[in-house]
Amino acid sequence: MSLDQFQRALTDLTASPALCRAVRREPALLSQLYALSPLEQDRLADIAASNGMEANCMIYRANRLAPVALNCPDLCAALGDDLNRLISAYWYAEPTTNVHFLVETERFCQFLEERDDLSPQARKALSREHRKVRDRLAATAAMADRDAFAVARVMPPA
Amino acid sequence: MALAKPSVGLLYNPAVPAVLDAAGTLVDHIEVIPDRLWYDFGTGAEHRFSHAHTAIAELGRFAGRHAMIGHGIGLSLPSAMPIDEDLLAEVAASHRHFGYRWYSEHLSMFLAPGGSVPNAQAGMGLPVVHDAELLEIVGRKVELLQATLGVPIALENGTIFSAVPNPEMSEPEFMNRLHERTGCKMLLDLHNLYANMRNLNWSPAEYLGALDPEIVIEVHVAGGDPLRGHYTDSHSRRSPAVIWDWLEEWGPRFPNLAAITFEYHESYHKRIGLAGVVAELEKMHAAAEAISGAPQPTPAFA
Ligand SMILES: [Fe+2]
Repeated sequence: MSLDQFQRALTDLTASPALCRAVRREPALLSQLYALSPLEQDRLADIAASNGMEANCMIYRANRLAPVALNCPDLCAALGDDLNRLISAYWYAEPTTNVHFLVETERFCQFLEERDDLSPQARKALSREHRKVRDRLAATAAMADRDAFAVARVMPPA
Repeated sequence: MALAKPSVGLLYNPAVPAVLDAAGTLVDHIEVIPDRLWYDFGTGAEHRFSHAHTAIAELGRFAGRHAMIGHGIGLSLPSAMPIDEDLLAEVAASHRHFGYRWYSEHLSMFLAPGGSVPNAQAGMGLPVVHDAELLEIVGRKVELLQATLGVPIALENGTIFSAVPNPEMSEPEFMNRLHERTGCKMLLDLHNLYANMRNLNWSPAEYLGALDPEIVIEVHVAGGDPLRGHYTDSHSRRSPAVIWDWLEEWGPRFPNLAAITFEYHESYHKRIGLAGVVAELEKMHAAAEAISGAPQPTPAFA
């Protein structure tokens, strides 16, 4: 079964405008990277070349940026034009999006902490908002053993 | 025979309690995204799901007065990978807690197989290949959900920007065949259809005409935004006018249509406004009345 490979490839293309460009130039690249049937390879090459792929890539980036923008607005403002470069570098290092907004944000903050190319304003905002995110994350972790559905869980099905 | 009046409701978000407090009589049902009721620390964590106790308690405040419908985004039935059983168990616990009339997921890929963790997110709902292989994968998972939850299961049509070329079957045919095989219903999102019409030149009449009318259990209405030549399903506005025309024309043809739900994102509550949400609810009631053929009541909130 190669459907899983098809889905993996489509996900990778959506996450990487650079991979889309490479596949547009050289569709055979797909068969080097993934185990695909000829039909799947043709379909992916068409999708990579389609107009809509630009929207997929934009929405992927907007969705992945959302937790950081929501939890670290001052950091994003202080990074300014550097945000695009730094968050792209982070996504390259961490290709898997974490579904937990605070975990995703904390990982980005940690990634920035280890860099030495931040402006003093960005470093200050990072320090303040990273602490807030860590505290909120710790609070959700501390609540993890409190089960809001405890009573429902032991009830017989309706 | 006249149809029963479909129930009218809202997709729950943190701004909805204010609407319910101001105009709760216009809201028959609340649609809950269970995935927003917890923080997911991922497979392998000692306590994987940390509950959002405030949100759950807030919802509980309304659960006695409004019917509840479950609408998940995390199980990603079309992904070519085993279902996330722990997540399904958590969805089932939320169902036992709130008592969903039915539960829906999406006919889009949200989870990517082959990621570094089992619940690796695709980052958005991606298009799927409508073929026999996918029918088998989705069909088996729908049967598992039916057995686990004990209520009807529905799948929603998504917004897509790049259609999969040369499909074995169309999306309506896929939905019809899934229904034949499993009894799975359809959550028909008219705004997603509108977006696909704008982005991919789909014909709504052809799409709606190809659906087995029996399968539609619920309709979603919503609004979106243009984005650099594309049109997105951003849930950021009131519904476009043409969607109400489609609902008026096609709603009476769906004999099992039981609910109409307006979806919007809380970050756009200010833009849409309380009056805007109420206006959507009133339009949904008018459409539901027209579908049932009953006379229109005086609006409860003006
Ligand atoms: Fe929807």
